[in-house]
Parts: sequence; structure tokens; C-alpha cells
Amino acid sequence: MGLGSVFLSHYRRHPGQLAGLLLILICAAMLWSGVRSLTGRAEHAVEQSRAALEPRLSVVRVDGRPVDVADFARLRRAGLCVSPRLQVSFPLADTPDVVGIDPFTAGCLRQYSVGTGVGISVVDELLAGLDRPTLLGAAADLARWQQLSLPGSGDYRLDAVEGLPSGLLLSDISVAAGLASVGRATLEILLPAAELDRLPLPEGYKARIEDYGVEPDPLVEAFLFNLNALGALALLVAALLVRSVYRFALEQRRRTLEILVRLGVRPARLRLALVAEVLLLALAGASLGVLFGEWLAAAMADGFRGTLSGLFGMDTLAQRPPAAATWLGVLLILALVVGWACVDLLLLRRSAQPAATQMGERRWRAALIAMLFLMLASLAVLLAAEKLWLIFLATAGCLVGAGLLLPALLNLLLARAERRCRDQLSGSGAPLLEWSCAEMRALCRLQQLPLTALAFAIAAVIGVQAMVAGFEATFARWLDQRLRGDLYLDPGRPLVESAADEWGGRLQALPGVTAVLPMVRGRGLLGGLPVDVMALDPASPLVRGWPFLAAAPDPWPALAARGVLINEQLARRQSLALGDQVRFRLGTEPQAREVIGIYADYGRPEGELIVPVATLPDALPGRYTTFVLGLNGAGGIDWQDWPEQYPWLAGSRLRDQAGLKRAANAAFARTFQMTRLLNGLTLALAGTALALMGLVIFRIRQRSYTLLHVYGVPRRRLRRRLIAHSMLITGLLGLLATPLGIFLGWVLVARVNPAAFGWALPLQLYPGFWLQVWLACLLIGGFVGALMRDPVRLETLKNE
Amino acid sequence: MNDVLIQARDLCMSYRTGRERIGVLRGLSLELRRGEAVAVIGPSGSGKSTLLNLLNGLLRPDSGQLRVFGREQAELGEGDWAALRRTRIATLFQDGNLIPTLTVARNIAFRAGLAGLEQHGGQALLERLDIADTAQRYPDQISGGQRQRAALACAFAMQPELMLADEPTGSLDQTTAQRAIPLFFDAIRERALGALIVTHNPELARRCDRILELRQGALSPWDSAVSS
Repeated sequence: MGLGSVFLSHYRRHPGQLAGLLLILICAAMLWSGVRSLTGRAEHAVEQSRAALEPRLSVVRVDGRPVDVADFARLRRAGLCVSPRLQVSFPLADTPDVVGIDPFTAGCLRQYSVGTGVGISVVDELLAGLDRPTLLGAAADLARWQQLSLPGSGDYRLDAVEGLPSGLLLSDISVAAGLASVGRATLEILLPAAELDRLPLPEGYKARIEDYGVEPDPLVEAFLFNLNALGALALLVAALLVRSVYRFALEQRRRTLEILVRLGVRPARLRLALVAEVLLLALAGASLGVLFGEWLAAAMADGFRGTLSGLFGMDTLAQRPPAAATWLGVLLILALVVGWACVDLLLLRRSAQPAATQMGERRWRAALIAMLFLMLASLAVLLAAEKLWLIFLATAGCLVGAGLLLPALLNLLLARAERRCRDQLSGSGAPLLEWSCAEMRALCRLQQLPLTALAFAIAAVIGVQAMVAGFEATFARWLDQRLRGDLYLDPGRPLVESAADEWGGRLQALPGVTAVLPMVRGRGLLGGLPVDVMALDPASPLVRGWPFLAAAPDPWPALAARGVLINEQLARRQSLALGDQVRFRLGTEPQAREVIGIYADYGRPEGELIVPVATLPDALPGRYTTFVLGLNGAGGIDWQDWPEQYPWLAGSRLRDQAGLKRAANAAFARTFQMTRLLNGLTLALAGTALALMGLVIFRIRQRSYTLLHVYGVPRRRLRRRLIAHSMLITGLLGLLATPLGIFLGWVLVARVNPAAFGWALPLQLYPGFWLQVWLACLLIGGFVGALMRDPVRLETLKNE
Repeated sequence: MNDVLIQARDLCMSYRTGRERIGVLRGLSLELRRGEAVAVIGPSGSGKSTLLNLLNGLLRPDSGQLRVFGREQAELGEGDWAALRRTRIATLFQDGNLIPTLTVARNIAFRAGLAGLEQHGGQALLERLDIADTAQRYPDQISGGQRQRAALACAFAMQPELMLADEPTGSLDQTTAQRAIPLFFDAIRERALGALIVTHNPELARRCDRILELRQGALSPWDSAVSS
């Protein structure tokens, strides 16, 4: 009979222990791989949607200066498939813009974007007509062009092409360059997004999606990043739990192991066998967990897909095999478990029977001070650090410190209560109260690791809830801000000021339209750096109720008179506050206005200014006007038919703001469901481990309870007391872990996000949810206590 | 005042192991008076501990009559038995069985407190038992002999009328046992307690007023000649 049989005999005698160890490993690996699988799929979907929906990016200079031919040459020489695009706008109303492209390099774009943008035939046509300058466009636009008689415009051949966007004429880039002197020219260097997978941009350049609307990528990335952080925390919790359960299993086998050594088994061989055992267990549990995690992810994918597509416009979530990071996480569990188990084995010779002694008390005090120091040092680093890895390291330090500090704090609280019972209480109940405190202190010491794990689980639940709720509130505010009114209208082409006014009048006359808010966007310069500029009419009823982070009283009249609104990112970057003067340049026009409001603008790290539309120069770079419409009973109006009914609206895009808001809210409801599920799993994991440990520990403590029964405490009372002890410990732990959860939430939204993505979320506090978590803690405690059934076993008093 | 503390007649008790019932006590009878010390000896597994657990109400007999402090056991509910164990019946085990999370002094205060006694003279008891220096130590910080004497101090602190002791010197070496036994009997005699002592120790048994042997589920006066 070999060592394997002896080891097996232990688990045959204690099958619950084996099941418990495997269960914890499976749950942890399942949680981790489930989260990883979901976020992995979502990341993949983000990439796909980026490539499919925004196949061409614009390359811009990091220093903010406009790109020129030299930049184009440099990018081509670097081997990138880029193509120039020169857009010329003319000051006359309703004049179509001329967009010049380079048909030779346009082929580069074409290989990535068949069916979008410029069609193959158009490029071919431009190539064929290189000998004579040609303008391609819709018949109406070509007719308008002919009416204008711009200098030299008669030299071009005009070809009507169906399918081109209205308000645009397409030409070879040399034609557009020739017209640049008559109008205002903007050169862009376009790049297929997929090209960035092949080659990086040279230094000094960055890619930018030319999109004035939603830029959800940073928000998606932050969301997924934070979900991954939850998965990592679940791993940490699992490692703690596995270690503690395994340690207890080892403790139970100590006598057997000692006998084996006495019988001549070499200790080194014994240790090797134990390491092999824990490795085997961890491998089995983790493999099963990864498999179940995939199932979990598949089961949750629908909700997740709904969330992401509702929130961020991502659609596909393809089934993908577990990524390397998933296995890396599992390997991490293995390494932690085996490493920790090895430490236990090295200490095997020492008597590790946990005892409630004064010596232990001194050790606890020393640990308390050490942990307090670690926490404070980590906190200082956390507050000062800017690097992401340092923030993570400091957070880990804070967590480890707090995790070990919490049971110590619990012990301290109970010690005070014990002293109070001893010194101040009298009557027959006082001794029992004193014993209860002492007993709970002993339980805290014995259950230190599972309690720490439970504290982490509670903290993770509260932190993640704060994070997700923060995202929800942020998104709701973001939607509120952007989804004012009932309809959003993108004309599909740039409008000059006079054209925009004309559009405003026409829109106002549409059936059911009660208010029109033109929103003009463009680029400005502030302190030499580019900023996004938005202009709107402060008197419009559609801006009422706009949420601000900080604002002067009556901000809208103040905006019209002298003010400017800035976004949070700009306020942070330039250290601007209410009442400060801001000097900026819009086109050639310098302006100085007073900050009268700061608004949140999450997901876009660029600085933004909002000015009254009346102050905007016509020559604002990148000027683009969109409209927000207020409707009188949106439900009864067939606005979807407008582009067909009104030719001047052809090519424009209309979006139902209220429907979008509803979809987004529904998506968040799904997110909450998922988060609740993940949180529930984490808590269940910690609760299961606590129950398993509780079973073992209460067996050890059963002698004390039995003794009390012998001393005359009725069985029922002891049973109630046992449940109360368990509930009190988890309840107190829940109370103490709540600030840790708030801290974790704060770290995620206020430290990790700014370092990783350049913007912060506000910290949302939800006492109602804390109460729910606390009640869950009490339930876990009650469940663990109730599992013991009868705390009295006369056999425990038998002499050995 | 009734001097008979325990009156047992034809007590039967059995345990179920699987489908089988094993009879441990088969018609056991016993009478114990105040101030009387009775030793019960017998081979391992003869039911000595079961007898003690019947007498302090931790177990119920299958049949037979048991009167404790003049009250029929059938009339006594769990709460009544618990009250008796808190205030009148002390049980002492082989290795002391102190509460491990309380110091020796707090263990004594605890037992007295459960009995509703404010004053317990714990320190005097410890001095008397020659373990005054252990008062602030935890049970796992003192020796087996000290633990046993500390348990004795706890038992006396509750001022019982009946002492049930299960191998009180079982975990002590011979020298320590020889020092502990007189202290034990002095304390019993001073307080005129009734004591039922289960033991294998002949020295301890010889100091008792009577020695009974538990054999085949019944008690009979010990006959040293037969036993030897």
C-alpha cells in the first residue's frame, strides 16, 4: 500500500473536504474564465466593429498642427497604406463641397472597405479621366455647380453618378487643390483601421475616428477592464479560500503524516507527494472550472451582447476558445495554491494547532501594526501614483493590508466587548456573553483566511456595484446631455452658417416640430492645444435641465452674455474652475469668456468648450452642424419618412433620442442582472468556503459547546448561540468590509480609469445596496451556523 | 433535609450501532447520600461514563427509576436538568475540560457566574490547590496536573452538592496524582458533598467510602479478592 492509498483513505473518510476543495477551485476558475471569456469576446467585437463600422481613420499630428503633403509622404514611406482627401467648402449657400481623392492610393482603402465609401467604379472613372479634370456627383449638385460659375469651373467635365452622397462632388485631388484658393480646404490623410494591425503609426502621429457623435471605445474598454479586475479579485479570493481549506485538511492529517514519518517514510518524499496531490487537485478543479466558465459565458452572452450593443453599438460576440489570459489566471491560482501549500509543508514540523492564547494575542497586535503600516504606505503611493502598474500594486497592498487587518479589527472589537462583559455586566447572562465574545475571537483567529476572503468578496461586490452604477449614472447623464429633445438630425454634410439658418427655419416648419436646436461643432485652440468646440442656442427650450457638475446660477443666460461651458476633462487638465477667464481661438478669432459651468463628458478625453452659437465665426475649422428637434407627441409623427418626403433632407440621418434612451436603459438593466449574477457567484464562493471551514472549525470547537452543555446551558440555547456567533462574525465583517468595498469602487473609478483611459467616473454611493450585502452576510453566517445542527456531542468529551 | 442525593433502580440503557442495539446498563441500582464518596470501577466499555451522563441528565435511561435530589427524572425537562447542572451537580473530567478561550481565573468566574454566584473565592481556591500562579494563564499554557486542579477549582466555585468525576486523575502522573487526591477529598469532605467517582486508580478508590464495580451492566460491591 503506497502513499497514494493513505492519502486517498483520508478523502474517503472526509469526502466533503475533497468535494469542498474541488468546488472552490471549480467556482473560482469558472468565475474567472466566465468573465474573461465574456470580456475577451467583447474586446474582439470592439475590434470587429471598429474595423467594420469605421474602416477609415484620419491620421492627425500629435502636436495638433494640420497635416500636409510632407506628412502624407512620410506615412507612405513608412509603408502605411494611406490616402489623402482634400475637401473644399465654398462660402456660398447650398454649394456642394468638392472632395478630392487620390485614385491611385484610394485602392489601398478599397481593399479594406468594399461596399462602403467610394465605390470601385467611381475610382475607376476618376482614373480613366485623368487626362481631363472631372467632377462626379449627383445630378442636382452638378446642376447647382454649373449655376455658380466659380472661376475656372467651366473647365471640368461633369459626370452624374448615382449613389454619391448629396452635397458632395468627387474629383481627383489635383482638381480639389486647384479649387482650394476659391474656398476653404481641409486636407485629411485617411487610413484603414485594419492597417494599424499591420504597422504602427510613426512617432508624432495618431489615428482619429472622424466622428462627431458617440465615441464609445474608451467607455467600452474601461467597462471591460473593470470587469476583468473583478475576475482577478475572484481569483485572489479563491486562492485564499483554497489555501485555508487545504491547510485545514493538512491539519486534520497531521497525525497520520507524523505516523508515516515515524514509520520511516522520508519527509521529503511525503512533501513531494503532498505537492503532487495539491497540484492534481488544482489542475482538476481549474480545468473543470474553465470548462464550466465557458458554459457560463455562453449562458450570459445574450445579456452581455444586449448590453454592449445597446450601450456601445457592438453587435457580434463570437464563441472563442479560452484565451491565454484565462489559462494564465488559472496558472496563477495553481502557483499560489502550490506555493502556499509548500510553505505549509515546510512548517509542518512545527505545531500549528491554532490556539487561543495570550502569545497569539501579542502576535495579532504585531500583525495589526504591520498591516496598518502596509496599508498607510500603499494608500500614500496610491494617491500619488500616476502609473497604472503602481496603482495596481498600491491597491493590492491596501487590499492585503486591509484584508488581514479586518479579522484583527474584528478580534479587537470582540476583545473590548469581552472586557466590557467581564467588568461591567452582572447577572447569570454575563458569563455567557463573555464566553461568546471569547469564542467568537477564537473563531476569528481560526477562520482568518476565509474571513479575509469573504471580506474581499464583500468588497468586490460593493466596489463593482459602485463601478457599474457609476457607469450607469454616467451614461444616463451622458445620454441626458446628448439626447435632449426627441430627434437628432445629422444633415450628412457640412452646412455653412447661412445654410444652417435656412435648415433651422425649414425644420421648424416640419409637422409636429416644436423646437429646433442647432448644435455646431468644430475645432478651436486653447493655450496652443486643440479643443473641440460646440455652439448652441442658450435660449432654446431643449437645453433646459442640462446636468452640470458645477454651474453658476442661471447658467444659460450667463452663457449668452459672457460665459463658456467646459467639460470636466478640460477643467482638470487646465485647472479651471467656475469664474475663471478662458482665452481661446475660434478660427482666426480670439475670444475670452468666463467659465460659468462644468459638465461631465465621459469617454472622450478631449477638451471641450460650449459657446453661444451667435459668437461662432463662420470660418470655424471643421465646422459641422447637427440639429436636435423637439416634437409635439413624437409617437404620432412619421419622421422616418421625412428624408423621402422632403428632398432637402435627402442624405441626412434621423435618430429617435427617446428610443435610444429606452434601449440604453434596458441595456443597463441587463448589465445589472449580469453584475448581480457575478456578484452572487463571488459571494456564494466565499460563503461556500466559509461554510466548509465552519464545519471543520465547529467540529474542533464542539468540545467547548458540549462542555457548556455539561455546565448547564440548554442545548437549544447553545444552538441559537452558535448561529448568533456565526451571524455576528459575518455581520460585523460585512460592516467592516463595506468601507473596503467603497474604497475599491473609488480606486476603480477615480484612480484606475484616469490612469488607464484619461478620464474619471464619479463615485456613486448606494447605502441601500450595502444593506442588501450586509443582509446577505448575515444569511451566510446564519447558514454556516445552522449547518452545524447540534453543537453538543458528548463523544467530544471522551478521553483520547 | 433529604440526605439521599441519587436513587437509581433497575436503570437500563442501550446504544444503537447500525441496526443493532447494545445494552450498556442492565438493571443498575444505586443510592448516594450527602457527604458520601462512592468509587465506581470497571473495565473499559463497561458503561461507567454512561452512568455519569445519566446521573447528570445528559442522557436519558431507556427504563428504570431515577430520582435526583428527590425528584423523578421523568418529571425533569431539559431546562430542569440544565439548571441542576448549573447550580447543584458538578461534573469533572479526566483532562479538566476547561474553556480554552478563557484564562483559569475567568474559567472559575464563569462557572460561578453560571450558577448565579457573585462571590466564588476563586483565588483562595487556587491557592488552596497550589496553582495561584496559573490564574491569568490559558488552559493550554499550563500542565495537565495544573489543569486538573484548575478544573477542580471551577467545580468547587459553583458550590455544588453533588460531584460526578470521570477519571479525575487519569491524565496525571503518579506523583502529581498523589498530591492531587488528598486535596480533592479534603474539598469534598469539607463541603459534605456527595461524590461519585469513576476511576481506575486504586489509591483514589480506596479513599472513598464505598467501592462499587460495574460489570455486565450492573453495580455490585467490589470484592478485591474476586477481582484480583
